[in-house]
Amino acid sequence: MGRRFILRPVKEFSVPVEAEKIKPDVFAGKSLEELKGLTMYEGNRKCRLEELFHIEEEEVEGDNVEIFLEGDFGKVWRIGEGMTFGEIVINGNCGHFTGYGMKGGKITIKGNAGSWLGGEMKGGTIEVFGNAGDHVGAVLRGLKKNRGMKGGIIIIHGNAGAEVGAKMSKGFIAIGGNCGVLPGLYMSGGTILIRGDCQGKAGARMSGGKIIICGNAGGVLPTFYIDSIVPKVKAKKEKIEGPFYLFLGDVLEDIKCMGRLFINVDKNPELVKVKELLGGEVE
Amino acid sequence: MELLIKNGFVYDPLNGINGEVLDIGVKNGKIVDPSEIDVSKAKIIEAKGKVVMPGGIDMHTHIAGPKVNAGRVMMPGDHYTSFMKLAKGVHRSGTGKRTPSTFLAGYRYARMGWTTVAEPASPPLKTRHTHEELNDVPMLDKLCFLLLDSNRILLEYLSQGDLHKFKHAIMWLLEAMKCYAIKLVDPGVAVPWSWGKGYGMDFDDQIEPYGLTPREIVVNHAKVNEELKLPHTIHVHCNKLGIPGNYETTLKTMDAVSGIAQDDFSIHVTHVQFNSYMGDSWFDLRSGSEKIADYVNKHSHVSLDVGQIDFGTAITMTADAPFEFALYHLARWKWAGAEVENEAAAGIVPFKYKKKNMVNTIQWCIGLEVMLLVEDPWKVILSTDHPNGAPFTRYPKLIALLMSKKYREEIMKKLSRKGLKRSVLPSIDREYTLYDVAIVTRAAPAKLLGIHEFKGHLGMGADADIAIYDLNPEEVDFSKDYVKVKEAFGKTLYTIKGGEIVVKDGEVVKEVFGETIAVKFKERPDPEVVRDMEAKFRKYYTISFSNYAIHDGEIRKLKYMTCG
Repeated sequence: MGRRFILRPVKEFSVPVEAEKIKPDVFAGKSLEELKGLTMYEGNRKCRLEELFHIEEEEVEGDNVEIFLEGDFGKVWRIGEGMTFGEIVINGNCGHFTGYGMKGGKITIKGNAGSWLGGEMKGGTIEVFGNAGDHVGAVLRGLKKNRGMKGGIIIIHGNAGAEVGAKMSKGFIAIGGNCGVLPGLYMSGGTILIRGDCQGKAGARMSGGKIIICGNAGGVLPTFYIDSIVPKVKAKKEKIEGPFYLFLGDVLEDIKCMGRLFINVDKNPELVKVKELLGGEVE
Repeated sequence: MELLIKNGFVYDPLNGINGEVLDIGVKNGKIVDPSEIDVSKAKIIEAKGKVVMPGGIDMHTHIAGPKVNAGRVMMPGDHYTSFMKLAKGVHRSGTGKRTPSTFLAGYRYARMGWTTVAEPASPPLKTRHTHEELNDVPMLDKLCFLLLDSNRILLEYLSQGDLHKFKHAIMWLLEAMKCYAIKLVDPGVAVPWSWGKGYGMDFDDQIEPYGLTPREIVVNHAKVNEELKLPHTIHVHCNKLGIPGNYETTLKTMDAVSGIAQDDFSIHVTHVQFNSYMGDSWFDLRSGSEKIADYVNKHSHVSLDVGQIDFGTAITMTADAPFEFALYHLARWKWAGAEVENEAAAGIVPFKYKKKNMVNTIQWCIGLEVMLLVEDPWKVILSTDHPNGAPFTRYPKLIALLMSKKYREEIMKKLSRKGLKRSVLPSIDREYTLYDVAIVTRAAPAKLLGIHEFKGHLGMGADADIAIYDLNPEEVDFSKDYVKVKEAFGKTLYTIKGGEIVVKDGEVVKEVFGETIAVKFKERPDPEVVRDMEAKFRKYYTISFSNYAIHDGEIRKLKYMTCG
């Protein structure tokens, strides 16, 4: 029999709650009484789970472990950190580090997500119906290249903040809305799809992978070379109609220029001059 | 507070005690005869079947100063994985692995049983910062070496041949900066580096515009060091560090100062591992440790510390700026460079030593080879050049490696075979005894630093800095049970600093602050020279001369050693 847990906050949190224990790996195999006694930190105070959340259990079909979080979890951090299976559904906002380093399973967020959503992720799926904060799928500061996202899928229907997919090496991030500066900073593999606009500096120091910007890119860094104009581009089995400028870079990071940056031609009239470099005529 | 440590196996090489079962009494922060202790009042530590040693001394560890601070800023990644929690009323919190915060550095040293350290490179202008940080390092007695090799004022005096001014300027600087010894880093290299040159500068190359060679700089500093009767010799990081074929330069440097001090050491060559490479390029690199060890065995004026590397992450920081710039192009991650007005230049590059890498394997072998091939352990000191070779927290592992051939073989299985073929380590059978370990980590550094009257031994009147390890030399076979050695040295049973128990069972139980030891001369610096320096200072520097010297009150606990 599958198990479904429903958690509701007891109160409005004023300080962050470190909730790395809210994940199916911990919940599976524990009775409700044991779960109520789980210790976690609210600010610097150690307390039991039942002091922070009401918890209920239901039985569902199948053998999955599901955790439903109802209410505002905006101050609750590290939900599903390092989870490997099961499902978490958040009906509301969630805080920073949601799904950090997760290896499998699924997280669905109906509200907004905080920063570092799915950072250092290795597998699984995260879907956000609201907006996400900065550093989606990125790595904590100061760590080496290739330490970022290594697999899995992040889908954001709203907007995202700065440094999406920083230092990622594999995996797929799709943003339905706009994003901030520096998407794909230091990335060495994987795909970032931005359906809206970007504030600029896309692909700074990238040495591999693919960034697709369907809206306005806010300019291209001078360290990228124009390669060609392509009619359409493939992103995770989906064909996205262009046409797109294809830039290669970043020459500062790697002389081989293995990173590919696709920018929509129609939405970026200020880039029209690069057509001269391709030998075409400028209208 | 009175203490009585009973029935421990005492290892005290400065007094020639090798594993005898003795009692040790501590009263008012000093070691006294056990009969003077009032047993009814004193706290008695039963050390039966345990090893009792003097507190460890690390004579080359970068734990304070502006470049360490820059290193901390560069390594935020360490903060997530390495930290110590606050214990209210006992000790503070801290973070950092390769470059721990000042407090954490003190706690970690104390937990291993080390009680005295030397910060080996501080440019005069930045020494105020170094002392501010050293003030914050708990549990340890501190020394600070002054970086003088590229000081433009000194170089001017030297190029004019004015040795009187040269000597008195050094005197004034050492006293004003509250430092202990002279440090020379790649002598003279900061001058050409101002023009972006200087990488690979050899011992007899000219330094423009002064018309000097590193040889003259080293020899003259050694002479002045001898004239001033400084307790430590000159502390030299040789030219061409980290460049294949540099063992010749190291030998030249050692040879240049032979005979300057009669029947005594006249040079301390630091982190010699980085200076013992044979071969023309990285591809045909070979270990030059035999040549270095051979020279040291035959001569009595050279002491060494190894600067052993350990596999894993480290962060290289040195005042040898051109080398760091070259290393940055190898490592391709982060680099910071800085220049201190007229005095020095420095660089910082994080680096990872890899087991399967041929060069790193050879480097690892060289350090151990030097330790094992130099016959007299009083001439060679264990160090990792923290954080350049490895963090100082690897000392227990290195001690275990020195004491066990089996452990070395165990690790060598995982290393690059090509690298091992070019090293002599696989053929060395020597294993250190516990007495040898006590020499290379305690007695010899105390002797070389000239603090052996009150540190590094357990005789009457010495400072009560004691480490007690949970290791029974009668039961444990060190060459087989290396894991036990590693564990025992990693966490002391008790660390006693200044007569107080600061660490118990590997946990910090009390925070104390040690002294900063500085030299003072009987002879006063010539006022004429100081006036001359002031005039030059006004011309060259951005701050005023009166703000340059450090006052006694700026240091938490200052202890002068009079010399001359």
